[in-house]
Amino acid sequence: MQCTLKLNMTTKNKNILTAVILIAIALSFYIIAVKQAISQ
Amino acid sequence: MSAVVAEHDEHHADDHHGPAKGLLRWIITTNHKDIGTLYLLFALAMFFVGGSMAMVIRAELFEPGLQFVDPAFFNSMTTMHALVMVFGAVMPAFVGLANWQIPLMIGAADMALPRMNNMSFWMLVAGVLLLASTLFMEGGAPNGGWTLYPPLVLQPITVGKALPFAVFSVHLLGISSIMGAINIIATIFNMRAPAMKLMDMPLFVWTWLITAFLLIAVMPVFAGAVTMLLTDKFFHTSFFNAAGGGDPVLYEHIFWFFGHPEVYIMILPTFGVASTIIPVFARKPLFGYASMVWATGAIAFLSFIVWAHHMFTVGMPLAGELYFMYATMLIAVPTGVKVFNWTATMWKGAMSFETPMLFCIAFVVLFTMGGFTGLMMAIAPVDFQYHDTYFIVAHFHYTLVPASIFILMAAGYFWLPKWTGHMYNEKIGQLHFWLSAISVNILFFPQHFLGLAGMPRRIPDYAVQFADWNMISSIGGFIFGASQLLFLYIVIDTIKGGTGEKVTDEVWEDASKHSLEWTLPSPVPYHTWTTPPAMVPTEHVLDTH
Ligand code: HEM
Ligand SMILES: [Cu+2]
Repeated sequence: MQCTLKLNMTTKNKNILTAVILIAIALSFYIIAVKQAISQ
Repeated sequence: MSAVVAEHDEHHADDHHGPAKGLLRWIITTNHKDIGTLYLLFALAMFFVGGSMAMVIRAELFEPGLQFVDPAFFNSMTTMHALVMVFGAVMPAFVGLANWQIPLMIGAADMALPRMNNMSFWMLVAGVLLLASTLFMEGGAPNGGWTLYPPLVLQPITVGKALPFAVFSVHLLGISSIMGAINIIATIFNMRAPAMKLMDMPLFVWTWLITAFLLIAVMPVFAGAVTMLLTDKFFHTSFFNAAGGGDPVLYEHIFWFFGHPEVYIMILPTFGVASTIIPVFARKPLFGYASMVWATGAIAFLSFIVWAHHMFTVGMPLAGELYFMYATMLIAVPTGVKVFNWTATMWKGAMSFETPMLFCIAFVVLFTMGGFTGLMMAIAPVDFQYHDTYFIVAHFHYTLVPASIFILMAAGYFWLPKWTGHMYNEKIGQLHFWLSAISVNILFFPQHFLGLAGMPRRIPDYAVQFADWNMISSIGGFIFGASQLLFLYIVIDTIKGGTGEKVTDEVWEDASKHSLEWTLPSPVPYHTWTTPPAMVPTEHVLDTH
């Protein structure tokens, strides 16, 4: 189980990885919105 | 991607057990069906809470003059009606359908992240309760409109003590929606039965996948906007405060960057359910499956680049007005593709008119009317007249009530027999349909005339020239509101046994050719697809195979 990003990754790991990526996307939208307002 | 589904390395503790006993089951459940039920029942309750607020609005507007409530409370009602319906009723209802149906339709045992699923639901409840609590605060609930525009929303007279609570509620609702969206995306990407390719998925699953990405992109933006309202109010920033060098119009841009995709968050799953139900009752495969998928993607993409059609009157440069006008008009193209496809699906079909199909047909016709008024308002110079009048109110109620709400009803009639194993009472269902379909037009059609004649929205009193159509609209509203009690009755009655006739696994003739859930027993067992199905139905995607 040390191979984290290999092809035989379990569904559970994939689910968590998907969640982390999506949270990062959400956060970046939050930051872009606020940054946009600050730079006005 | 889905090739590894069979390699589960561990099993959930509850894989081999039924639900927990008593009330605790509903609090700690991680089962997608239980959570789906919780979402749907909560949404139904909020539909009646938001509906009561609408009844207050229509009662006050029954005649000119001030009758029942004071103006500040009236404005709280319009604000809270919108917030409760959008965040408490329509969005949670579709998440509930997603919870029930997506795993059943793609052959997955449960949602990808079941504990987070439970948390999403309870955060939603907390968020809505927090919002509702502002009704009882000094100064009352927020009453500056659901868009929460500054500077109005920051003035003490309009918010009293409510603003920080409303803002925190938006944060909770936002986090809840984002977690729900993450769960849906992870489920669809990672948990599909190996046999189901992306282009085999039922359209309900496709539309939810795309909607979930919209949610992840725009809920954080809304959270950012309201947080800046909060710091402007309490921490002396001036993001939106002109006196401090800020710009109130900036809030409108940020809000509508969220707000326009938000209306598509409420309509794309609607499209998905309609595309799922219509083929079953037309006894034909869906016309143009692939074009439906692409049209959904196109609408989602366009929804990010048209936001300023909500603010044509703020004084944008001409080039901006023109750009947003033409970009908005483009949305009519993929939307037209969809309406064409639904119609073509019905064309020469062996149609039957059970309640779910009736609601779908009314949806196709009445949603199109909302689309047409949308196109009218997209014409910037013309929108100068329509903006902030009842014409807008008529437009978005046509796109939300006989569209999103009707399709949610259709989904209830369509899937309740599958979920409960009981048949609903078709006679009462049809009565509910006809009363709703007629009264919704009495309620909202006259609002087009009122808007064109210049009646402003969000106002408790009006000039006597508007009296007749307002009275008619209110009468339609009362009939519509009362008719929905029939739906409540049918839901309770069906859960308790319905007509008593035992439904087949398929429920609807040949439904199992269209989607996987109809191959399972009725009622659906507590655990399903613990081994993924070997084959998936492809009737609905005939033209791509
Ligand atoms: C053909 C597609 C559509 C077009 C061209 C369109 C266009 C517009 C425009 C230009 C406005 C702003 C009018 C104004 O304030 O002056 C508007 C408002 C609105 N639309 Fe649409 N629309 C479309 C579809 C939809 C759909 C599908 C929904 C929801 C399911 C929707 C919900 C709304 C709402 C809620 C508002 C009012 C927001 C507010 O000011 O409170 N529209 N639409
Ligand atoms: Cu819009």
